[in-house]
Amino acid sequence: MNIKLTEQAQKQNLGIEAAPFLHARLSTRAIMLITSGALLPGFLCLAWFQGFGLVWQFLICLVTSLVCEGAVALLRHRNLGRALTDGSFLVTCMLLAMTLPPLLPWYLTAVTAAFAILLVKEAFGGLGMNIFNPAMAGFIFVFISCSGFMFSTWLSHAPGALTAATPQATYEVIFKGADPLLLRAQVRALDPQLKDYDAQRSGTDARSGATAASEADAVSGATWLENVKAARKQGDGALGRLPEVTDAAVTAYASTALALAAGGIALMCLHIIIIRMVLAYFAALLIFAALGHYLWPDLIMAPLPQLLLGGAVLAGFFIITDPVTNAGTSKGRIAFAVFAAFLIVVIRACGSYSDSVAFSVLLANAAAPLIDVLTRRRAFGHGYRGGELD
Amino acid sequence: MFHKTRQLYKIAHGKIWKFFGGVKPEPFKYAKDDPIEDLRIPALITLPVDRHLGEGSLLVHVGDYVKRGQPLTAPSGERLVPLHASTSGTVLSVAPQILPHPSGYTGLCVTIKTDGLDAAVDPKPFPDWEHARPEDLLAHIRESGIEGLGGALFQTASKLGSALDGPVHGCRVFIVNGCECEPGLSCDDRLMRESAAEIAMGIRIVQHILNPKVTLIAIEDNKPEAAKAMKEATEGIAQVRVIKARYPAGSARSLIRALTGVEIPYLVHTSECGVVVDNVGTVYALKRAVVDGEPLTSRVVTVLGSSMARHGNARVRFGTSVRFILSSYHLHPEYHQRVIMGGPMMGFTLPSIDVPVTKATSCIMAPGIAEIPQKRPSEHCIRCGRCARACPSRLVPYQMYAFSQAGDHAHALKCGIDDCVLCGSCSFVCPSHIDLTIQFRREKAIQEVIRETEKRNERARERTAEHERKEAERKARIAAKRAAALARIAAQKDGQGQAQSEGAQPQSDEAVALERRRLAAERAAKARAAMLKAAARRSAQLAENKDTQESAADTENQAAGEQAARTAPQPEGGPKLPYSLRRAGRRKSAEEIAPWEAPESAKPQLKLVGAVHDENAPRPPERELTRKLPHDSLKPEAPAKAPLPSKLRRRH
Repeated sequence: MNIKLTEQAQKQNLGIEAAPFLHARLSTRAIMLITSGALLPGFLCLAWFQGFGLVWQFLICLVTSLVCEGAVALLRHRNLGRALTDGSFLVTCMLLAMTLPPLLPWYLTAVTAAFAILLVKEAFGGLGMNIFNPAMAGFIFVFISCSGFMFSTWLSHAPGALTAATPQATYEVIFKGADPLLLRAQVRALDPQLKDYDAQRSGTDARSGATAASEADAVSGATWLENVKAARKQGDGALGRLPEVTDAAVTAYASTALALAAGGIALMCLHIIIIRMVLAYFAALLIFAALGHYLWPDLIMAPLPQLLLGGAVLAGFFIITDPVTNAGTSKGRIAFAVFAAFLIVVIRACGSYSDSVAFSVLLANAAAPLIDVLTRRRAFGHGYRGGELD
Repeated sequence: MFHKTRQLYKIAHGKIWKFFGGVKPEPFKYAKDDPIEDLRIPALITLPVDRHLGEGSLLVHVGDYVKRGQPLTAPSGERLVPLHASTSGTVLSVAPQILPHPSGYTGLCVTIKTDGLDAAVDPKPFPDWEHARPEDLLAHIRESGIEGLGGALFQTASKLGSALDGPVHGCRVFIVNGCECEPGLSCDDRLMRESAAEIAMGIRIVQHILNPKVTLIAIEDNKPEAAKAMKEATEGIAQVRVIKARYPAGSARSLIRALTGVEIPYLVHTSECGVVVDNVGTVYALKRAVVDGEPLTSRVVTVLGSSMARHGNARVRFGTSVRFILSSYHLHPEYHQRVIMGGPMMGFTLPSIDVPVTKATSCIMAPGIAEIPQKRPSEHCIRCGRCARACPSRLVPYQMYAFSQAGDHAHALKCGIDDCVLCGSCSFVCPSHIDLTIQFRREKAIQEVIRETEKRNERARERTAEHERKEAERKARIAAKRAAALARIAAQKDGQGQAQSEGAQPQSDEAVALERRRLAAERAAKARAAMLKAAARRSAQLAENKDTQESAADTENQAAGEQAARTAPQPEGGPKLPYSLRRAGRRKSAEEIAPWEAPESAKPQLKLVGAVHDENAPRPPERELTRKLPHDSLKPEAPAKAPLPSKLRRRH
């Protein structure tokens, strides 16, 4: 067979391509940029309630991942420009900044980001090849290895925290190693109910200022989820006797969730994430929580706190929808979402760490290949019996 | 039974099912308002004849005068249709020319120098087709050279015939495909708008042949005028179904799914399941052939693209070169101009524009770089699953791609590469710009080679087993003979000894010597006779093998065959083939070739080289040839005396 082009054909110098010649407009880079953009409302909202530390964390992550991506691209002889503009690390940085404690020392943040990029992503072959979500794996890495830091640098949600945790103040804490407790007390004082609570405590104990705040933290824990865990550990009925979440905190959590949901809905409208998967996740989370709370009220929180506290909303819109690390088909993705929701409820009830979203996402990631195998699709025409038209 | 009839009831009452997947590319239907125009007659007509020939013969020679509609080939077999001259003129050459194929390979073509008169042979309308037998009509349709003009070029008569004789016996649903989902095409649209009455007539002819229970005309909702025209023309004959415009809606399987709710697997012909799908162009051609008696010599081609001054739909004679069409539409080429034949989703770029238009050519597109941008380099797959959602065959393309790229062909097969229709939807949606379809095309070719190899290996195993069986039989025979001979000798010796001891008649030395010489001569003569017999048998065998070797070597020319040979496990090394049997390394010394005249039976039959890859062509029994023959140790002292075998076998 004469496959080589004839001289006559070569002279015509026509463009040769292979079908299909048309292409949809969406590109991977656009997907990543749009996702980052959709994260922005939630990020800004969180920055308002947690202070400027978030922005510093984001910048640290960004610089670290740029350096890491560049180094890997050089080592692997890949196109540097393309590696630095694919936008995937931008999403990772946003997620890390939103999940890490806002006052975490800079070196820990840098190590976390480097771990996420180098070990979790690039060691498996780069974008699209990682089996675990980089942001969640990085979060767990620092969470397990430096739990003390995690709690001491956490800021509880308070309205207008940005006014107390100014760029200057957070800079001092994050980069200069200033004591985070003072800043934490200031942010705490922004919440009127907490302020009263602290004032009461300081009145009875004849103590004052930062020490009182730290004491209160030691009792009540850094986050509400930590409180819940402590109460659960205390024994029967403690979950019911929890101090109510303050009004200001409820507002903060709810508005953050709404901001995240706004971004998530934008993604759904743009068909970047699968609507069914997100709906399945939230439905499953609420159903599991309601059922569990009805059966074991001492162990499992009510559905609404389950949804609002921690990273459940963030996970539903932005983390479990990460296409790289979840199952392949739509059916598989729904199964994946339900499984992740189930794990969140279970780990919150039985886990030894207060935060469960990251762990459940990683466990679900690990189960994704299995889900892939179990949710095989029926190819077109398979199962045709004939005779339908007789 | 109730449910089954209900399905047909739903089909007849306008239910439209959903089909999975699909994409919505930009429609590019610029030429939909340009009426069909007749293109001028070009100076040269080049008609590829390979797929109209088979084992048959050409009916014309260089220098013959042909008229439009005159058959040029007489194909062999029912599956092939004859080729007709598309205008009048003189046959200029019968030689290989570049074919319209992405690789630009060449094939046998008949080139006609046109005389511009366009004289036609007398039309042969089928008389009284309303009362004709379907078989006669089908034969007439085949004689008129009608093939599926949708692009697949499936022969229409055999499709209709298989629907009649298929396992389902008869046709339930006949679908006229006017979807034209491929972007850019508007030839079917125009045909429906301008010749709706003729298409309706064609539908009636098919209805007469098939007698379907339901006849549907599928038209996408972006062609309302065509739908209206067809509705008016086919009132009472067929029902028009307007379906949503989505890219592979016009592929037969998807269309059947949308209109009947039945998913017919890709391995089964739709016509064998009681559903016949024909393109509107085909139905139109059918009407022309049966009612007007004109064989298929032209088709409507959509010509568009921003590199051309105008766009339109042209009725083009087969064999018109693409260059002629492009210049008729005033091509102003850009650098590295792409000329796409057959639509921007499933077509291909031509390596040369000096190729003829064939029955499969539905569109010629010369897009500018701004209209269709060049492909971007691909990035990493992020498993976003868009390809899986777009795949009309409900496959998971990115998995298949990963397996295929890793060379894991077994897994790729398991993922369903056989069900892939290469529609290009996955490549279209991929945000990482991965060329999934190209990889699948390659993978399909590889799977073909693997199947071929598997078949060959199977044949080889059978052959080996057969050979070993024969060998064992022969050995047993020899052993039995030997044992018998030894026993006889022993008996003889015993008898002699007895005679000597008994008779006590002292023989003279001379007599004994004489006796011994006689015995020796007898033995020599016997051995010689056996030897000659064996050699004759062997030579006959070799001659027969030589014949098969020749034909096998011809088919070997095919690329697939070559690759298969490369990948096929070679039989373990033994003595090589005799030089006289090796095709490539044949020694052409005079002493070897000159004196021997092959017997009539051993002469290789002359065959057309490389026309059709014959699956059933016998393969050379290489292994039998490579074995040493049993009597090698008993070589004849004077091989020249043996008339036949000595020349065939090389002297060692």
